Amino acid sequence: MGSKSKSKIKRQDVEQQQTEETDAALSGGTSIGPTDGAIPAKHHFILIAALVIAVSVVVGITAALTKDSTTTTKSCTLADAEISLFTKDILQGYSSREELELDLTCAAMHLVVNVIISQTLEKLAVVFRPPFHNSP
Amino acid sequence: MVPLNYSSVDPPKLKKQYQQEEFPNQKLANNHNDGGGKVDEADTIQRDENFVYAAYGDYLVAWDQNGKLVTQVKIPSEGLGANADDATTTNGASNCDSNNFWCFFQLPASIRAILLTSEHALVVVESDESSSNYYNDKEGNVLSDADKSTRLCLYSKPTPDGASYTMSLLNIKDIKGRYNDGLYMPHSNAIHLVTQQNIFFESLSAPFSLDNFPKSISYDDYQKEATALALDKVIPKFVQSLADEILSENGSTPNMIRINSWRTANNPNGTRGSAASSALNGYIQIHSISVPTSKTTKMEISRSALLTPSRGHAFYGKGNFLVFVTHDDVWDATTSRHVPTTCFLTLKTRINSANNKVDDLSKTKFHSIAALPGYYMHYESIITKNRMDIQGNDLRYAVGGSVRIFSLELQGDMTADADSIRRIEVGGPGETISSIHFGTQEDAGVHSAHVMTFDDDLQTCFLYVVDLVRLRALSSQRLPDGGHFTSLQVLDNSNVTLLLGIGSNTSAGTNQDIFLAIFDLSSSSSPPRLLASHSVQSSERSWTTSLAQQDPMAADYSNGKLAVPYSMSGIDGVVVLNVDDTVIMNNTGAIPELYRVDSPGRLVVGSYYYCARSLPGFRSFVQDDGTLMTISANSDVIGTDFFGQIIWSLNVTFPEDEPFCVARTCECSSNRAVL
Repeated sequence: MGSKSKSKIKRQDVEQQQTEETDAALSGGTSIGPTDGAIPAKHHFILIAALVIAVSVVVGITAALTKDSTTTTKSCTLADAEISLFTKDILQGYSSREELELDLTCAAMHLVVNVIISQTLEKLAVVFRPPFHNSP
Repeated sequence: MVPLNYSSVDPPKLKKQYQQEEFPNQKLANNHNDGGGKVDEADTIQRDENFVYAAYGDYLVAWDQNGKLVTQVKIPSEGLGANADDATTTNGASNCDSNNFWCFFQLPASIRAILLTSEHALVVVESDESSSNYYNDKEGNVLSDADKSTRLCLYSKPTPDGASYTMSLLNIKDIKGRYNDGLYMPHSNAIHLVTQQNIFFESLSAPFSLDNFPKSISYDDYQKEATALALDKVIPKFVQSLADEILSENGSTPNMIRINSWRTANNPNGTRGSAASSALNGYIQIHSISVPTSKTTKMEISRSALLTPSRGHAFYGKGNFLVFVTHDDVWDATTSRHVPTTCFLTLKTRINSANNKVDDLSKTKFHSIAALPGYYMHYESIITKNRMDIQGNDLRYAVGGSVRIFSLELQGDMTADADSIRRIEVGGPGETISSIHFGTQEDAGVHSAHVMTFDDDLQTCFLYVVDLVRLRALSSQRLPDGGHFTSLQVLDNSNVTLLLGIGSNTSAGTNQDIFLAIFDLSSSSSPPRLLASHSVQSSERSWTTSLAQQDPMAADYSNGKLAVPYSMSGIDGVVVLNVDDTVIMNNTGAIPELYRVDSPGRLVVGSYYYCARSLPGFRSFVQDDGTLMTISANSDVIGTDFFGQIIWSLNVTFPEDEPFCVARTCECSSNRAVL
């Protein structure tokens, strides 16, 4: 297996994802905002607050997962795998079950992060729905 | 239709067995020379010098060139299918009654592919797809079709047995996953089969649904609890299950490429938006099977594997190289866009230098990898294969959207950098490649290619001859007839080498004809010369298409006769054209149409497909004696003479066919009729 360094999920990946999903969650759909006209001024504050909270949540989840993962026996190596693209390491594959499990763990973690972020944003949308819902 | 009295016909004497280098009847097939003989691509109909072999549900049937059915073999399929224990698939009705839920979904096993070697027929049989556990994770598997899905049955070719023939079952092997593609490589005397399994992601996502948490939970607490659940239970369980299923029975890891996100080499800082989910879209295995010799019936299987980002792929082989091609949209952080990307993986079999043969398939290793910009995958692997070639250590391919040809060094263990790949731009703005033929030693030479492009604005086709060594166009010509050729093949005529283009005539309107043109390639010093052309149309100018417009295997050529299948307003048939020396020498500019044969037998009705065995789709072969063999999608095969008159017919039905569904499915038969 290539690099043995313990590395974490690339935060930029997650942040890229989270930004897209946050934007989508906060701007799309009729249930969380008016479909026509400007957002009332009082709601700007709530919207900004929701955005800040959402970003902090996904960063927190990412940090929690990656932090916790390094304390377990398995460490996420997705970043390593990405770095080692197009090298012999990719072609030589896995020499042990442990190596395979490391990469699977990281890939699974990447998926789960996205799922939890998605569900968290859904919950946030619920939290902030009432004031928007009542907007004219 | 003229019934034949088979008992009055003596079984024909076998002609000599094939040598590995000989597949004389497959000149137009997509079976290219791999250095040690013709690569045989898996199909549901195959033929050798003596017989045609066809899948007929769960039967393998074979007949000779005179339409005499020589053997019918029921493929053992007991136990196939994820739910085989719930509803017996082969012996019928025992578990299958109106109270059995699985009965509704299950259909009999069927042959998915036949591969011919010099002495054997390898039959790939599969449980019906609806019995896959794709939607049913009842066993707790992470991968679909973990077992009981695909079975390999090795038969000897028909041998005379009194007044008939027999095919002996020599070996049976079950492999995981669903069959996807296959090749027989005479160079290594090995068969390579691709199987695919899907990954159940529900076990990774369902536990985190908000429905599983108290409604009053705060997002902060949800985050903490979900994170703990992921780390303590969900992810470890998923990883353990997937690792268990990937590892072989003895616990050793297969020859496997590491999980990675595909990415263009010229974008080293780029990252994908969702690398992991894409990387785990499917699990592919390439099963390399050593073909038994005449002295043994053993089938040694070694496997190579990868987790793929995409479910679409192509599989190609030549010499001691196998090429697996897939595609993906790769995130480019520089432009913040997804870039269509084609990914090549090559495997190399180890050659014994002493005898220049492959001596150990387990030594087959992934050899090189390249991800190149361009999205030429058409989701039709056969088109992709026609755009690919290997000569020496060069992998050549053409992308369709943009007009480029790459030559990829296969030597060395580093992968290709997109910037270092040799390429040639063919054509001008507005032109896209519509078809390509890479030269071979037998025709225009291994270092050249013929490229057809099409200019949408001009509605005109251009033909280029390209020097792949010096990377320059040797000639180009604008074709006057407005043909849009989507298939190019070289015909090895007796005196001249001909290039055949099949497509449509844009001036005739969309899908109004099948347009054919032949070019003379005999002069190495001058560009290809358009010899003749012909437009195949219906009398009513109705919707007209041909499988040969996309798939060269669909057309057949022998001894100056060219058979091209057509579909006119949904009616299948074949047109036979004269492409012999006399026509070429006469220089009339036209390809004479000899006759047409409509699909024999009754039309296939949708529900029939589910409830009875049937032959594969419409096919037609020009035989060595110039007669034509035509096979319909149901059970009829006919032979026609030089004038299109039926000289023999064969109906491949068995007495037990009619109750095929009813007898074994009880209440299910009525359900299936409306599926």
